[in-house]
Amino acid sequence: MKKIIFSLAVLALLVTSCNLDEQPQGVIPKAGAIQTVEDAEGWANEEYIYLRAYTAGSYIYTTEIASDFFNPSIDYGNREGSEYRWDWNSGSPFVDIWAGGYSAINHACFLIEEIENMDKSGFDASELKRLDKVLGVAYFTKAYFGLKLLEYYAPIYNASNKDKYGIMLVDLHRPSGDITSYPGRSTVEESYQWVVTNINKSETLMGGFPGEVAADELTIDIVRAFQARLALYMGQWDLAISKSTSLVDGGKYPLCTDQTEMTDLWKNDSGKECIMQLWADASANSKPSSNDPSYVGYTPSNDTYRPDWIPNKWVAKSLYSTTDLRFKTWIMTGIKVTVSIGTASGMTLFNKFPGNTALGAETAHLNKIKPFRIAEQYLIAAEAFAKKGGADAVACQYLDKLGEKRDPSYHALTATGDALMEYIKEERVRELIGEGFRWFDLKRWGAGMAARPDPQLAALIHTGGSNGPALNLAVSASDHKWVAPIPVDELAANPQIRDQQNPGY
Amino acid sequence: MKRITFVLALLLLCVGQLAYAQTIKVTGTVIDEATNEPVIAAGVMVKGTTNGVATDANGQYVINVRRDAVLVFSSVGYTTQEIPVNGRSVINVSLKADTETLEDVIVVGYGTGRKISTVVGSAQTVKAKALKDKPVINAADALQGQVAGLQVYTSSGDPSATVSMRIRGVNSLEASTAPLFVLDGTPVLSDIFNTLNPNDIESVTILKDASSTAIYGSRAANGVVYITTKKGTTEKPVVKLSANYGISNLARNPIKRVNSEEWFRLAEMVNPAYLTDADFQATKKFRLENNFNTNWMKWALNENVPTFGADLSVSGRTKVVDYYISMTANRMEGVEPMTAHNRYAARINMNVTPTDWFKFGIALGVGYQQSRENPYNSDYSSGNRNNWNNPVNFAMWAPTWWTPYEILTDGAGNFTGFGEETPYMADFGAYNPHYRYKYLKVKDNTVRLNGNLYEQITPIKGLTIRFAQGLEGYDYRWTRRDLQDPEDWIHIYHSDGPYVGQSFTRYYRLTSTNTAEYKFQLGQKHNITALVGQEAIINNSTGFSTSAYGMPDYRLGTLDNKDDTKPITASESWSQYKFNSLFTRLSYDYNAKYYVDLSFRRDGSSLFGANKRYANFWSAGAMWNIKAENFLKDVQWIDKLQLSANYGTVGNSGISNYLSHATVATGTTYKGTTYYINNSGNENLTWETLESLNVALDFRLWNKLEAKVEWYRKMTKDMLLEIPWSYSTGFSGGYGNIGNMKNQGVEATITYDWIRNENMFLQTSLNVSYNKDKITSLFDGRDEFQLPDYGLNYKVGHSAGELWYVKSAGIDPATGRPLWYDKDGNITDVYSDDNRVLLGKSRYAPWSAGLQIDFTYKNFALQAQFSGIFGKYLINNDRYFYTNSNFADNRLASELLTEMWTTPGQKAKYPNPLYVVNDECFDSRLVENASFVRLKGVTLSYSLGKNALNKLGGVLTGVRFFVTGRNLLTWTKYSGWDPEQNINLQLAVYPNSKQYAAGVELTF
Repeated sequence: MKKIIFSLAVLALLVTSCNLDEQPQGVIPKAGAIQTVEDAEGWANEEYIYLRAYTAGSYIYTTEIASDFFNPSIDYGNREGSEYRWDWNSGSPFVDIWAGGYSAINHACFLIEEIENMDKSGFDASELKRLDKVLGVAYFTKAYFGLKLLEYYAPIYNASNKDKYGIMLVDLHRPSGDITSYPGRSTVEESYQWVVTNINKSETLMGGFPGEVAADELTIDIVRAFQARLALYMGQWDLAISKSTSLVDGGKYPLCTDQTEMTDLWKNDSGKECIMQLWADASANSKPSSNDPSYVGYTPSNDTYRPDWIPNKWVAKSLYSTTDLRFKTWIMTGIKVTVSIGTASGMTLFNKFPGNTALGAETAHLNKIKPFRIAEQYLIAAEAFAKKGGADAVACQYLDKLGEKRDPSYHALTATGDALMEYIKEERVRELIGEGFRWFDLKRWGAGMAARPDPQLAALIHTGGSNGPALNLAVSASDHKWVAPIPVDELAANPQIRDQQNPGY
Repeated sequence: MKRITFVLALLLLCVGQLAYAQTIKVTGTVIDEATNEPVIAAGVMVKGTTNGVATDANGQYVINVRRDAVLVFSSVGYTTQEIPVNGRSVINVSLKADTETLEDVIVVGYGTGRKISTVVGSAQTVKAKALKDKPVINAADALQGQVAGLQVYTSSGDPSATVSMRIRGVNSLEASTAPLFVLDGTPVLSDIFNTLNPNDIESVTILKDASSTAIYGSRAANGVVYITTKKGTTEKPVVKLSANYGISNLARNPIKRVNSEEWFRLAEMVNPAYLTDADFQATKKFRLENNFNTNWMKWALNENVPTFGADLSVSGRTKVVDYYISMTANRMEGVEPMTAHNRYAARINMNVTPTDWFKFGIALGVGYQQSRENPYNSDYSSGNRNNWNNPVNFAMWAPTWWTPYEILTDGAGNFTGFGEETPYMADFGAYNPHYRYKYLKVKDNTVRLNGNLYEQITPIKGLTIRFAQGLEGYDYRWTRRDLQDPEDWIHIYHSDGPYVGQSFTRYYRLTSTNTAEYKFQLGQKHNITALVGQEAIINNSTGFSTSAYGMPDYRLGTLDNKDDTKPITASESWSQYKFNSLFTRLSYDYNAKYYVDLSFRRDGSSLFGANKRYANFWSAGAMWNIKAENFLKDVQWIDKLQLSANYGTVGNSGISNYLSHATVATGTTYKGTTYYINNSGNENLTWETLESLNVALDFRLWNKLEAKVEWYRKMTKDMLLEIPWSYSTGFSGGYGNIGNMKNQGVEATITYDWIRNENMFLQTSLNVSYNKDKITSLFDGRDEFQLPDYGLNYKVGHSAGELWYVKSAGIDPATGRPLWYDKDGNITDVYSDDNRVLLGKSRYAPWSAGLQIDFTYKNFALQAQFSGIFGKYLINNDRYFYTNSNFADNRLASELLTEMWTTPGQKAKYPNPLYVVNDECFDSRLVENASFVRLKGVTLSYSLGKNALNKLGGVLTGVRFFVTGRNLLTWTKYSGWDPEQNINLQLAVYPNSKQYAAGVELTF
């Protein structure tokens, strides 16, 4: 009996059991992740990371290459080749925009919901104001990426496209494998109105955060700059005018006045002219992506230029007057270009992103990202006045204001009607080339892409195989490829969108 | 204290008894009944006492006993006999071989062992003999082909290579497919066979079906490998000393390369411009006229590299204690330069029975392992391995007309001979790999501990209460030093210069298992064993790593010597998960005729979602011992006939930790901290469940033929898959329990004793198994799920390992253009990934077989072990490089000389070089049948007879010499390095090796 009691006692002592609630280390449980204002600001900071990621690098230059500025050198190795040839399909290259856009929007939705459900009773006025800004950033993110997605995946906003497919609208972050919970595409009208709703909420919240030159966080001016851009894209000329002129006329963001200031802006990221210039530094994870897909290709050790992308004759020879500061700052002339089959002297190259040495080696072509510049607002104002009708002279005034600063030998403009519009289109190229505007500009102007101008020197250009037809590629306004394909993965995973692929894919 | 006094008193009493009893001296010889050979080291014990001796080299013994004592004669492999002395002074004994001895008692799940003939489920044991004397580090390599339904692959020739095992097919797509490994009752890591001294293994039991594995619950879906280590068995301590020495080489070298003359000829065929290229022709003339023909295989890889092993063990038993102590040292070098593995291990197994109701024991293994890796082939991602610097690639790709030596010429440019090997290899246009190896050092070492402790109480007859505590742990340390070399090549390799990286991982698993087992009889015929138990397991793994750059000198290779202006990294890892379990088993038999086994386990694990943390698993099985029926009692030629069936469920918890948790991590800095959701989580994440049905027929006829035939079907439910989500969720996908698959197969094992007489013994054992795996459903009603990045397409009705590539339609004889089939089966000359189809060929072999031949003639013994894998397919990605005329400058197989298209009308294997485009060559032409038959092991040994042992002075009780070989012969159609690959694609792997070794084993 003793033995049995002893055995039972030992048994009781040795019976073991673990607590099964294990938490991973180095991360925070999602539930209750946002508790303080500082937490919320950390989440807002992540939105800037999204913004910096998707306003730089390949997200900028792939559409520039699809446009009518560049031809590939014979050694370009088919990098961005499919964009150049317009032979994209539902597999690539536009999947990342779709994935990244919705990732950013979800992040914002989570942030908004968490802040709304936060116990704010202990916060003082200054803390509540900081929370307003976080929310402002979240709504801005939704609007910004909503518009980005619309630029790629939807037809432009106009009366005949209103009921066509826009984008999936997401307001709540509910990650799940439940396929019935996934949204389909809303109409173009609903989608643009969703962007408007979100940016208007942001505007309300951001009222107390005035703009400043080279702001690296959201300000009311950045919201207005976005509203101006959105209104222009939506054909709301008066709104576009009021938002853009408030920024231009306010005088807070003066244009560069001379070559030194221009160089300082583009080389050293002085931030002048920038309504927003995103933060970056030289540490490994804080570098921005380069907007230069090898436009220059310079190797200091042997002093050679081996660019992948060479500006065509139009950009190199006739776009700018030689006194234009932009030409002097961004365009390199008299360059000896080396390719595998030989060299060519006297070439012109494009170098708008010359590389800020504070961020990395010059050859890395890293510059701070400038998603909103005042020059764009001049052009928005001019285009809106021109489109509005009866205000061509005012449009010219805004173009003059920009032109005079850009080119000492500038002559005041007196164009009207189509000629004025043509001038605006070309001025947008002169000003915004390389910054990712061209492709969507061509799309929204609805005239297609005229035949790609001739290359500077045909012998340097890769015209073999399927690249041949791309040399002087023209894309009609009705071409289905102006609207990017919804990624196949989305179609496969989401039954609501399965039958909503864009036409032609 | 009272108890101790009592024990001491008892002890004294015993001593007194021995001292005063009337004793006589008994002598005799113990022989083998069949062979009449003496049985050496047989135990001769006085029943009921600790008094005993062992027989000598002649099988003779001398013992003093009481006249009325009973002697117990026992030896491993023989049936124990008890013989009353009855006053006799000479007792000679013939021991009868027990054909089932080592398989006799096995541990199925928890509790005390049971006779294999009473096990209802499917379990098969491999004896120590099959695993010893092997000239490789990993003993599990020798399990290949030993057990029906068990596939074992050694996919690499690296001395540190681990094996991969699968039992009865593949049960999961994304969770683990590796079995559960249990060492003396405690779960251990799957690389246990790398750690363990093979000579410590008593047996390895493979548990295959639900009846035998359900008690392991959620970890047993892929079967269980149960390893038992040795115990002391003889009264007289037995000391064994063995050593072997051998050499290692490439197992196969099947790829024929072009020689220098052929290289130039081929280059001109591929690119006719060379015919008029003056530089090319000048090089050709110079190199060929001066007979440049470097054997790069010999230069880049090592030949006849040594392997060495030495073991020492001491074992024995007294009435109170049995013990086994061993030590081992092994060293194995690899055919790739720099690679080597050293292992030092020690073990102590001890069981103590201080009283008749209390017993405890310890099994403790410690080990230290050290590996050196080749810096260019230590990366497990094949993309990174596939470069020129990987020695295997260099050996394959370098043209024979290149030379590593300085070319000496006279003033007129005439060749006068070779100079020294130079750091920079001009022909290669890069630094000489031999030079680089001197400054790149990749090493790792591991200290391991496997400890099991148990305490066992038997308060009443039949009731065993057992408490067991297990600890498995290791510290792993990895170091890489890329040092500053005199030529400053290092700055080409790393732009930041010399590099030192270190990482450290500590792992431990604590297992606490408590069981109570009660064996009893109801009446005469109802035998019942009931077991209940409880188990808790904690797994913990932590680690950190750091690296820095800029050490200024090759003599300064520590982190301290870093350049602070260069990048420095630091990272940390942490993972812990736990299991809580309750289990029970009820075994019943009626008069050893009808058996029923029921088991149940409830498992909880932190691995799964908060809502689905617990699950139940169970099994039910029955066996009918037909031979025990009256109607077969008199049928002499049937020795055994059993029919069994069982059904049950097991789980698969082999998934990454923390998948169910929705978490937030810090992201890239933006002025300050940033946060983002790094894991969407899934609170409903739970186990994959496997439902398994097994039917077996087991028989032995004419005392010669033993066979077992089994059929099974396994259904995997709630399969864990990372499936694509709509991007509207903010994620591209997530984990869910979705999809089902099925494995179904048959297995047969037939053992036949051809000759069994006093001089000769010949036995063959053949096993054949067939398994078909099939995906039966996927998510959202889909019938296929494509993962193009992995070259995978899971499709309902197809094998999980079916290869998915564009189907080649050969080479157009008219033009030499490669042709393909499009989706609709039409021939096209345009390649497109969209035309990929499932080829009906799987990486998972449906058929496997093994043949063991065991032959003894007098003092000679020969064991040979063949294994075969059939119906297995492999992408020979290496061939893509060496037969691709696009790489004409440096990578060519001689096959191209005759098989490349050159003239219209030619039926060619390889296309006209004009039409070779990189991606387009990656099609079904690279899919090869990688079925193989391999002589996995062969050992010939000679043991000294009694006369010879006597001449040596009688100190030794056994001397055995042996020669052994591994992977000596391989039959396969596979054209690449080696078909023994547990992967779908072979690229730049460390090729498999073969060994010859010789050794000696001394027993004292």
